[in-house]
Amino acid sequence: MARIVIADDDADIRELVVFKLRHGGHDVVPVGDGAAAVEACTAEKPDLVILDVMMPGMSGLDAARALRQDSAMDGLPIIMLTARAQESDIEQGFEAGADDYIVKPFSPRELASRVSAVLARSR
Amino acid sequence: MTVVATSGFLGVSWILLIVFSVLAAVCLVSLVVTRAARDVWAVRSEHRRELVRRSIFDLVMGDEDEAAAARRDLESTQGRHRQRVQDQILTMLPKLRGDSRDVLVTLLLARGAERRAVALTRSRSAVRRCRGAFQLGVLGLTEHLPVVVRLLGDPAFLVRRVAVRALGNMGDPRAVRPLLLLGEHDHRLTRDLVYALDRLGAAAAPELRTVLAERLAAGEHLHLDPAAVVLGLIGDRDAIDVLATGLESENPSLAQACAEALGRISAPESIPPLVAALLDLRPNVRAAAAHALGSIGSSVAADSLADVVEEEEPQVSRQAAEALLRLTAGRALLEASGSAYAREALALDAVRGGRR
Repeated sequence: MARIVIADDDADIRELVVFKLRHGGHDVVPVGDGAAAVEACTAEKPDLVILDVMMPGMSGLDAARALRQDSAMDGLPIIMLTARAQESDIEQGFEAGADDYIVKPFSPRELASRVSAVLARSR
Repeated sequence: MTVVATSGFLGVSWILLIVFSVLAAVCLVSLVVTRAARDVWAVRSEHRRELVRRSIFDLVMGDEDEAAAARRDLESTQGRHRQRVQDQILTMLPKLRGDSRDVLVTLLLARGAERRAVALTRSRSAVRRCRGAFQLGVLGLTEHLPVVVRLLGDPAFLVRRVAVRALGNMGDPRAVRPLLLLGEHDHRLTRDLVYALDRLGAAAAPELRTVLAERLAAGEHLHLDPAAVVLGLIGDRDAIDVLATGLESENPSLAQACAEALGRISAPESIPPLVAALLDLRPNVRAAAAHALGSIGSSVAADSLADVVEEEEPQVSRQAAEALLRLTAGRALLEASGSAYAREALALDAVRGGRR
């Protein structure tokens, strides 16, 4: 079981992800934007964070950069969740510090597999 | 006489007072009861929504037993609730793909959603036609593509708009040509067209290239910006030639969109046509070409950009200076330049560096 922070401004997507991950036995902390994700990561010390790219206020890319600059978050795996799937967008995500990328609309089964794989790699 | 009149007046006043008091009490009680009933209805409605949502989640992500129970629950709904269940599933569908989506589509089709959606597109009500187009798009039934394409000619703007987005969701590249044709005549739909064509993704690229090439060859410089924008968003390297041709379009907006798309694709072979576009007579095209060269990031274009920094058009000089900042050889050229825009770019970069 892992502690996972999920940040997405779309309540439906957030709830779908929360349901799938809780169903898989994880402890999930849902938030609605990038700034809240950074705060939640500082407070909860999660094993993984999933960030939507386009969010009001602080975007997922900015949140990823902020987390990468924080030495207390060293090695925290980040998965980006986004509607944009072009090479340049994916490149941007990796440059910001993402470990993996999931494209919306998403498959819950694929999400669970990627979460397991990223968690296994980080341990 | 006076005593009788006074007591009669007092009697009427009392009666009126009592009548008004009773009426006020009745109004107050009605108001309280109505508000309480509305609150109870809202709570019950939210509770039902939550139950349906839970069933949908169980159906697509639960264990075998949970999924079977959820299916029974969702299939057994009748009347108004049946419609609510369908609406909730339709809202959830665009967010899912894979098995989860297939399970929900199968459930909706078994409940006659396809037939009802097609019927809605023929309704006299524009709102119902919108709902029909939305539902066909979400269900992604490409055999009904002609039905949605027909709605692109609907007299109601909102119906055309929903139909454009629905065609994007259907994922069939046969929609590209009718979408571009509509965009040429209805500029208000540009954003929706870009959304729809981008949703079609790489499958749309061949047709986008073909239409753009045909129109440019025929000297037709209509509103084809969405085609250029989406080729850039898709990152289609096969579109570089046609986009380079588009840089010379008589339509300045299309030429600008082509430059921006080439910048997004970021291929080195786009550098020569973009450098040539730095000499275009139209400032918006020169500025877009400068920005694109900055995105490509090759120092091959540095000298040409340094020349443009010196020009008088502020938007062009600024873009060229910003582009130079992104090139390895660019900073030295900016420092050697006497242009105010070169100094501005260096100062802004120093401020950004301070923040970083």
